Amino acid sequence: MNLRYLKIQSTVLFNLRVVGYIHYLFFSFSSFFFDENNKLPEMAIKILRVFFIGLLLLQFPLFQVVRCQSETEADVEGSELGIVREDVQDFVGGNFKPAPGVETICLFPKNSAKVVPAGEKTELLVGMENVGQSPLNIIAIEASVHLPFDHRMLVQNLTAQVFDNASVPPSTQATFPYIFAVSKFLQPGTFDLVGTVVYEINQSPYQSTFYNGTIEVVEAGGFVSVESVFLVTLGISLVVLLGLWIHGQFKRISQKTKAAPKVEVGTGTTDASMDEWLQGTAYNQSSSKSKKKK
Amino acid sequence: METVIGNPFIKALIILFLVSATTAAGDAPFIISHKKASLTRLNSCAERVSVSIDIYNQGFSKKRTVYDVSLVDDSWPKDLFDIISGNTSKSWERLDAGGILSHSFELDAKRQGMFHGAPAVITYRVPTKVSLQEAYSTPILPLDILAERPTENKLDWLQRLLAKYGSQISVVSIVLLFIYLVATPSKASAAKASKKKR
Repeated sequence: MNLRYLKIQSTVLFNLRVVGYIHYLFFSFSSFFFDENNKLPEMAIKILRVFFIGLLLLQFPLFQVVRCQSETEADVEGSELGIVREDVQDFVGGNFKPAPGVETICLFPKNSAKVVPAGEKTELLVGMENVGQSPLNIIAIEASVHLPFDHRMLVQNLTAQVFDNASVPPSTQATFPYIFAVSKFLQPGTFDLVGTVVYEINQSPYQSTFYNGTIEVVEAGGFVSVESVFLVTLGISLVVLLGLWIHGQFKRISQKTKAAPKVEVGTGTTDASMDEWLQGTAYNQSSSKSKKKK
Repeated sequence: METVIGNPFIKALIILFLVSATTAAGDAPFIISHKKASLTRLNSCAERVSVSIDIYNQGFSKKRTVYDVSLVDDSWPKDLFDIISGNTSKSWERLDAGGILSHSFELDAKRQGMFHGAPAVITYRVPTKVSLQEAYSTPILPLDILAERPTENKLDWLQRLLAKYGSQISVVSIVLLFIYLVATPSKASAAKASKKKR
């Protein structure tokens, strides 16, 4: 796979994710803090505004145009176990029949659930049994990933491992390792892995499928990732918002019940002569004068 | 007799019997062995090789217990390696179906150079066969013993660290910075509050 292409892809995706999460952060926290019940001091509001505008402006250099690239071909790497044979290219990719008397088996060491983290190296062991009379020479091990529901749809051709000096003597079993890495951008899920081993007996090539089953692709990543941190902060902010709202409702209800006994029932009929504050005023004196006259 | 053999059911049974006899080899246990070797540099003139060998018993039938499992790893010549701990050979009494056997040992490498190791040999006995069965482990990658390590640039180390943890650090710092901004009261508001109190 073209490493440079992968690097560009990863930075573009990372930038897009950061942009998206900055937008999300802005909207989730702005509603929380510009709430009527919770008045912030002016200086804090100014700082917050500057912060948010700064965040928005930060995104512009991160916008990038994603360019498509054609499917990568399966490439044969130089063998790590020796010098590459000259005629390897003729064998890899060809379709040969399995030889009679050759048994193959596949094992994922310490990984019975067949979990494959995307983008990280996974190892599997291929067991070969040579029941025949002549020795067997292993040429290469190759594999490919397909969609589980439609086997003809190829997802990825995995790098073939070429062997230089690997042979299985007659009436013995031998094991060979195959290390592969699925594309980092493959969606987690169930996929079909088809693994074949190309070998030759007496100069004639043969090919056997050692594994034709499902693998479980999972996302490789630690506990603290961009998504988990933002999810946690969103959860906390929602809980705090809910708490504030409930608190506000509580206050409103408690204010209503306290005010009820304070309401006065309008003005009642009062006798003017009975009022104390009218004693000694003109009103009373005139009424007492009128009484005296009579 | 002729009518018995001529019967199509009998013919089918005979064919089935013959076919099952030829595919009985699939019931045999399959011994898969994984050999791993790793290098640890002790000082500029000594390197330690840690070898670990795992043996798995796989196969297609349930009754595939093997007996007298013996592991022999003669691929480390005495003039190039010294055995520090453990033994290059080990034997066990049995290995049940689906079981694992592990063995590890450590060697000290004396001479500098490229070393190509051969696979380890495992011999075992199966109840159905008389002769001793043989299985080979995985070959190991060529070991570069006492190789000259290029000095790592500080910048490269920093770049590597940044690439690995950059996204996580930036996310956590943004969130913490935001919380700090909101939680700490500003100086102007504190002055106003103190004025009001007076």
